[in-house]
Amino acid sequence: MTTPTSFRTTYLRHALIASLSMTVLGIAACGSGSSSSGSSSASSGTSGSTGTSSAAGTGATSTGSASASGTGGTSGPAGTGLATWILIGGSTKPSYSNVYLDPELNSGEIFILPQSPLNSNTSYHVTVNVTCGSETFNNTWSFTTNGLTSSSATAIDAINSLRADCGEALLTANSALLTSTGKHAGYQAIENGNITHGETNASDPLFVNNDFSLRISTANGGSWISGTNIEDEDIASTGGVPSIPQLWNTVYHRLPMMRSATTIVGFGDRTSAQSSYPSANVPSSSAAGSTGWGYGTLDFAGNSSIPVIASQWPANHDTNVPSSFDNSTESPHPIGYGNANGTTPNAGLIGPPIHETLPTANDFTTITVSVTTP
Amino acid sequence: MTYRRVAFLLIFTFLLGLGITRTLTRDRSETSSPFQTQSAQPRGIAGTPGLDPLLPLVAHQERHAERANPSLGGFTTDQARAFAAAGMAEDGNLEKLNQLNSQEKAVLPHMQKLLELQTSHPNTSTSTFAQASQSGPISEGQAGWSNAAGNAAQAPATLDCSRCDRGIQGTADGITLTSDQVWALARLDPSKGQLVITNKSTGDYSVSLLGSDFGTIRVNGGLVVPGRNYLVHGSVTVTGSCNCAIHIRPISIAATVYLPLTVNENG
Repeated sequence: MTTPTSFRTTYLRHALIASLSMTVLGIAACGSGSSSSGSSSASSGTSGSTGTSSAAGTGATSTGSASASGTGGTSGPAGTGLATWILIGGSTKPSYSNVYLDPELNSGEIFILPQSPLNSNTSYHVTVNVTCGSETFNNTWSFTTNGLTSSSATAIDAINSLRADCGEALLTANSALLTSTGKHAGYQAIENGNITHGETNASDPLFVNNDFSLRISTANGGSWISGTNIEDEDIASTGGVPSIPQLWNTVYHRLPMMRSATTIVGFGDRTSAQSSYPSANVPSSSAAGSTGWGYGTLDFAGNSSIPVIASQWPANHDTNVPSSFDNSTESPHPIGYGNANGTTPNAGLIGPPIHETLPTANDFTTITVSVTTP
Repeated sequence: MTYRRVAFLLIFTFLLGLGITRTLTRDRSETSSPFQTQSAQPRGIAGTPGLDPLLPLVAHQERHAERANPSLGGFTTDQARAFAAAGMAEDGNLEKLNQLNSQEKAVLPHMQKLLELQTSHPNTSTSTFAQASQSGPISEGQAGWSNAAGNAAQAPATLDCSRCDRGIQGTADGITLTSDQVWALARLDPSKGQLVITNKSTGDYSVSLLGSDFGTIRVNGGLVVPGRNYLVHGSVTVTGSCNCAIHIRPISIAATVYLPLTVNENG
């Protein structure tokens, strides 16, 4: 089974990610910063991208594996599978060439990443057959690429719509998390810099703490939220509802949104901070010199005792699936250097992350995956 | 000579150019800017052309809380570890047995005898499990308890995820099974120290536990062997101050089902 990550380790990882955010946005700010704060109509940053079409149905091999001998190879009907990278959780992995053990994933979690963008408005067929110890999990389903957008009224509704699609229980808004996210989003907007998990300017009117977990505790009166033992934070450069499909169409940022253990959530962005903390003078996105970003901030909490059931996304017959994911926009890159899963080199525009969660603490022993066009 | 002079000047100019290039490269890589220092790391992020500024970030932190101090059901942690290791060895896994310390080894023979008392039932029908679900503590050597250890665990089983059953409700305080074909994974929260699993479905269930340390782990107060299936009749309470994963499965996939070994603390 996977031993839960220690506090110390995760804290350091948190710090690392925050520092990386400074790096990336230091570069990005010189280019094309984007503002969609408060908007409810923009789509995910990568949805609908067609990019260069992969060889769908024309002869690429599926990866991830196949033979128990661990040599990798093909699976599914020869000549119809797409090349994929496969990230799995657990403590050991079968020795397939394109299967990687990712320390951010829990046991039973598997992400399938097509190595090339999918075609738009095209149906795909996914087959996942894995064994974990003495148990076998089989799943076959299909989905259609048509971009991932949300028509939900609020960001939290948008998350719940996606969770319902997975078959996961809906999240409830939590007042402490609404406070922690609203203040941190406002802090970032006032600082007018990179999106970051940290807070280093104690003179900022919305400064609380450099540690996101302590910001949550502060908002909760100085203690952990009752019944929780897990906390996560996601931040996007966009705000409002559009930040949700943006964060969902990733690997690491989808994790707290999709997991059974997550039960409560808070969302804040530049707009909500302006409204909630008028005396802090949070600047508008159109203010002179503003980054224009929405700073959509999500804090999650939950409990690891919540039972995990089998779930996946896209769900069977989904038609709201993006055709691509820009791997370079997530830090760390799921496929590339610096993510501790061993994948190299850095990938750019690839297919959308497809995930499946299986209710097991055993390691994966065999994995067969195919993504095909019918 | 003119040609040689021209050639010399060309070569000199070329080398000078290389020197300038190297200097610029070194300057860039040795900057003290925190941004560029980070980008100099072999992560490839800074050098990514056409970097999309729509960057999401994530951080994850698990609670670092005090562990609970649940009842050990009359057994010491040494006894529980020895019991678990003996059971795992019986099921073909010698790893934990080889890791026992001297105190745990000292109680091992006694635990091996107790292990023979752990009640098991081959999975022949659901009525068997209903009859087997006796409640109340037992004592070591109590008459009527079989010594059928049997093999651990589960027969090879397959879940068709596209038809999986979601009849389960879970909170931090407990889990309730409401339909009879659920496959689920739960984890014991060491800070809470207890997880109650209640079966309100028409079917029978088993739980099997996986973890690295079974010194404090108990099911209904009794000792358990990692990987073995224990009957869920009405409800079971898993306690412990260690991380522990709990597989919840329909009893139909279990080859053998056990009752946890409890001790009569009055006797």
